[in-house]
Amino acid sequence: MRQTSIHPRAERPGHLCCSCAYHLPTTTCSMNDSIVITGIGILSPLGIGAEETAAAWREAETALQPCTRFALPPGLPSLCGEVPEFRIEDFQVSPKAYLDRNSELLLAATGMALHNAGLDTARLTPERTGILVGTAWAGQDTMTAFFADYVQKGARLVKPFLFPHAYFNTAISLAAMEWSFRGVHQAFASGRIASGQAIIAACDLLADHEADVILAGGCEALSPVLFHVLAAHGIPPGEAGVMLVLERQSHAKTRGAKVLATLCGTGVAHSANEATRQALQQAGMLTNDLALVVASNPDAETLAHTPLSATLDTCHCLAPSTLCGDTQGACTALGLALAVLHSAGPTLVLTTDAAGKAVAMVVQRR
Amino acid sequence: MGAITPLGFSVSETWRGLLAGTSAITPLDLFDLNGISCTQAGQIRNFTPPACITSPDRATTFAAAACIEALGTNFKSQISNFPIALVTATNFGALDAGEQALASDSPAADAAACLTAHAPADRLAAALNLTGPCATITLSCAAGAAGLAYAAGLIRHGRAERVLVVGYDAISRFAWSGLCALRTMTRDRIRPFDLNRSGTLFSEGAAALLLESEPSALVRNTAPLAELVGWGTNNNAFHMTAPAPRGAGSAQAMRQALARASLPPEAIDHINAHGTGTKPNDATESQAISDLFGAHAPRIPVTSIKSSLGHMLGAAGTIEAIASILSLREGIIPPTTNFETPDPECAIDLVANQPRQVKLRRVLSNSAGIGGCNAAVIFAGL
Repeated sequence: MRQTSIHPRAERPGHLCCSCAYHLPTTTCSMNDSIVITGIGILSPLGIGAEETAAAWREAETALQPCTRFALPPGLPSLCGEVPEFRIEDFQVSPKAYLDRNSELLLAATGMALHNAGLDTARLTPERTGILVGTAWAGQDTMTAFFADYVQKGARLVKPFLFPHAYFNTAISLAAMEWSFRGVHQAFASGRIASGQAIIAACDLLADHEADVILAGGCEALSPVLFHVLAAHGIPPGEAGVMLVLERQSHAKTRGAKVLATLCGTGVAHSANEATRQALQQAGMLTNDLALVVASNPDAETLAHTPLSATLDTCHCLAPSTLCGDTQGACTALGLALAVLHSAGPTLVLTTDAAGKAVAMVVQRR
Repeated sequence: MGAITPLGFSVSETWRGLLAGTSAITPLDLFDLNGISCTQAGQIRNFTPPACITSPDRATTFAAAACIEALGTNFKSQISNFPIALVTATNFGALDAGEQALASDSPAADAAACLTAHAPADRLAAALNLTGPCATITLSCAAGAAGLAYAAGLIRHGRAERVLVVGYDAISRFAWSGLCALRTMTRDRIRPFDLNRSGTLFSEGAAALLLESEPSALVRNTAPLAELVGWGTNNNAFHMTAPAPRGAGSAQAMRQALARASLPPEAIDHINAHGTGTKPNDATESQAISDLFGAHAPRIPVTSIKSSLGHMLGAAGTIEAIASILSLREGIIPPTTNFETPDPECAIDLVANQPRQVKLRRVLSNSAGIGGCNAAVIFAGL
């Protein structure tokens, strides 16, 4: 049995985007409606919240320090980027019987993003509000705790309540439940590019009028296993929870939201070159137009194989990982948030991984 | 399309088994059950991994074999001419190998990498030389259908012309003990929609579909099997493990798929249901069908192939998509086996115990998963 054909459907009629209480007239939903960022929730090693993070980023203060959250075996490098202490209840999150670090980071970032965007979830139509999230490792602390019981006590004495928290989609599901996001929903676990894929898919779904508002981003929590894997590459691990509120410009305008930035172009590919080319093309820009590049892997070898090679001498290139560690699945969302908080001009956010996968996006701060 | 299932190592073998109502469920002997009372599963036995893939886990080798069948025997020459994207869909990734790392204070980096869900995807893309975008979707048991939805979006937005979607999972000690602890498994047979149903049984394997744009199929001079016309994913936003009352979230995902396809409910001729055989799922899924399809609902034949195959976890959505396409093409619906007693809470037209021949134009495949995830896809005949 062989190929299945999919036939792209015609554009959806505009009336489908207009069911929320923000009273968006159908006529304002043009097909060329830009996708804008209207809220940022960020917990990173640089700080809690946009202001603290932006200040540390501007000062280029390293947040790397020896791990304090758990003990590591002797001989394993312990340098990492830890998110400073925070209280989950400060982010509109209801009390929970159990939350692992990954879920805490996502819930806190989501609550912060909603607040930052001035969104009252009671006024949103749940079915028109979606959430898309990327992570590489998900709740490793839960997985480890669950399996430790299996090994030490036997299969019959594992804790049933832990198992639903050991899925890759646990954190996104908890966020959907917390704020009644009953709309479009996707969980990506594609490694370092995961949150980038989530954000790009969110842009596509908004362009298709499949939702009015989408929370998109990523989360990654430090765990001992991350140190073992990244030590082989000499990269300090980091953790972060970063969520962005995305909506069509017309929707943001109608509800009177402050637009932080416009996502001008996006690309997803199996090479940094192709992803960058797609993003620039969609943005209608050349590399000379870029004021800044925020790259997950800013080494010359990676960038030399992209359209950026010609402008590397004149274009600033920054790498959050040098200050925060490698935040894995949250990496692209972190880079995008920092670009919005920092850069005055068009910025390319580029994430690559060891397998060659890449995502790129051009963002223009308002 | 390609499939590695407990019913057979190809789509045609699996399809024959489904039409015959063969049970894929056997006593599980992959590992010491260590006192677990759930002992039946759809276990893959006597499987030889394809030569092109080397992987410490079984799950990735299932996925590779399903992908190779989907691509066809001359796939190497095709791939060089036509770049293909890869979307993998899974619950547990390579955890059957990664669980060794969970139990170790100093795991090897290779074993630890098996704790991610993207490692199998990267390995598959490299082994099969798939040079398009590569993504891993982990929407629990809705992952397979959600992977199809994501792939459709990639094509629709011009991000890829061809996307290979593979759902897969392997039974591991981790997954088995957890699923048993959730008390979703039966000690009886799986009896979806039966009054006396008492739970589901899990299986392993992989199922793959190659999606491509219509122009791409024309350029390659290949005959499409079906058209993917609608898709939707959402969340119940209700409970981590319990379905929403009356399956409201499931109905909404199906409604999304209908809207995407610009189709009225009356356009659906058959539903390949999630149909796990658990009390809550089958009742709420039936209610969702009744609520969404209204007066048309009693005229829609519904089946659950999990009754024969077991619940293939991350592969459930893709193997059910394959069954939906074959039903469309051959005009026959595989039966829901083990059905004895109708349940008033499941007021649907169940295709019980015997296959049913019926001309079909459009089929909806419905999926759901832990965390309240839902996904639905609609295929149309050509």
